Amino acid sequence: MNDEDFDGSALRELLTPAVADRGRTSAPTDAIVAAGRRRVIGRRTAVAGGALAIVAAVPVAATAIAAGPDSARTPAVSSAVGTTHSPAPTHSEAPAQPKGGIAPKPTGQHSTNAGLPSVPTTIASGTVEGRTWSVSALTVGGNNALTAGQKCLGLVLTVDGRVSTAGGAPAMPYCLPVKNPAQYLWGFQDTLKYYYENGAGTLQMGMVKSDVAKIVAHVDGLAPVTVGTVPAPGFAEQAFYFIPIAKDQGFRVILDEYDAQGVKIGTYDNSVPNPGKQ
Amino acid sequence: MNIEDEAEFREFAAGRWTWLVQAAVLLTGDAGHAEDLAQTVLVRVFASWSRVRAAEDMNAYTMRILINQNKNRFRKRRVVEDLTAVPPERGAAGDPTARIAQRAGLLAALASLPKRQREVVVLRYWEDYSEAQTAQILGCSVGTVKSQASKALAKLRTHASVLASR
Repeated sequence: MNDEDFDGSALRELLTPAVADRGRTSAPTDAIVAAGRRRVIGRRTAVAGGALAIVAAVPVAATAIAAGPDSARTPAVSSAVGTTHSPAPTHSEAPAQPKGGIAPKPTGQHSTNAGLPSVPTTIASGTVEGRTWSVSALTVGGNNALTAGQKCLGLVLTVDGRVSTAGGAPAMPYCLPVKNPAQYLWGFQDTLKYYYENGAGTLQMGMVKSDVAKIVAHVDGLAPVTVGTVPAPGFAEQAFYFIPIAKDQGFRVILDEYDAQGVKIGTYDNSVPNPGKQ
Repeated sequence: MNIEDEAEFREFAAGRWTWLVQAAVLLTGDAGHAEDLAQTVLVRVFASWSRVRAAEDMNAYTMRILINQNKNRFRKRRVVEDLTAVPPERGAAGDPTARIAQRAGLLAALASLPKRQREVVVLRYWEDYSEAQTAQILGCSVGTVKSQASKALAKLRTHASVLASR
């Protein structure tokens, strides 16, 4: 082979010996599944008339850190009537409009050191399809290999008074590194979904950078839903959004992100595969 | 995830492990990081198993997760991952030690490429994806794939030529 002949087609052959002995051990599937389960946490909460299934895709590693709950901005909340891009149908026109609301209501004391709530603190609440829901946050320990050296915020969803916990622990842990958290600013923008098994509706939940002040969700057949973001307690560079959507799973939703000045600064389309940001 | 899905995932994970680790070695230049990366990728695949299963090409989808996770790793470890290429010294013909060193040199050369060039090399020439598929996985244009591949090959040419001539 000379330089002129080399077009990359031989690279595989050349590289094979260098990696041939790699990955020959068995896949640690048990550990992978266990870690995966911590990311995908299914909870079933019985409700009148049937079971309400809640499945959350949970990000373990994530983006950024630390604004205490006391610094939480007041969320700009509307209930499925946001009209940023298109005229919104009236409530009567939109099918089964949810009445979502984000209302941070710190109810507990907080650790001044970490900025994380020491007792459960309600950070969002509302109703969807007649079901009341709320999300509270509390501090949980990083207690496994994936969360070593991180501080963890646990979220608990309550639907119609029933709490989605896993053995008493928050169902949704958000763990971020304590050291140099700003390095994680670029990280993931995950969306957590709550599937109501009988088609009652879906609560979209996700994380964005803290400079996102408002999310407008566009779903086919529904009026745009606008919600304000909620600063993540203890995580300065991260915010959450919780969007009640009156559709069952499987629909397309486009989330437009706006800053405090109303400038669109991002879009997330759940119909476009976005590996690594699950 | 129900029992059937989990069993299906386990089969997928077991079957893709070697493939993922080897690709990760080429992307990271470090076997230890590669296994961590492969594990992280499979955790994410587990977490979005329904999407992965629904993907037109599960392997390409998984590879894209690998690429993105590796980007994340570099962002998190941007200092320690500042690799330097060390061209291998030409050893005596037939000297297995020298050949190992040269292979390591080729890996080092690969690791020294800019991230995007390395991704293109791994996808195009290791995974044998087409330019269009590579562009789709990387989320860039075919033209970018071509230009990045050309630049990468120019840098790898010396190392590869030395090794191939042995």
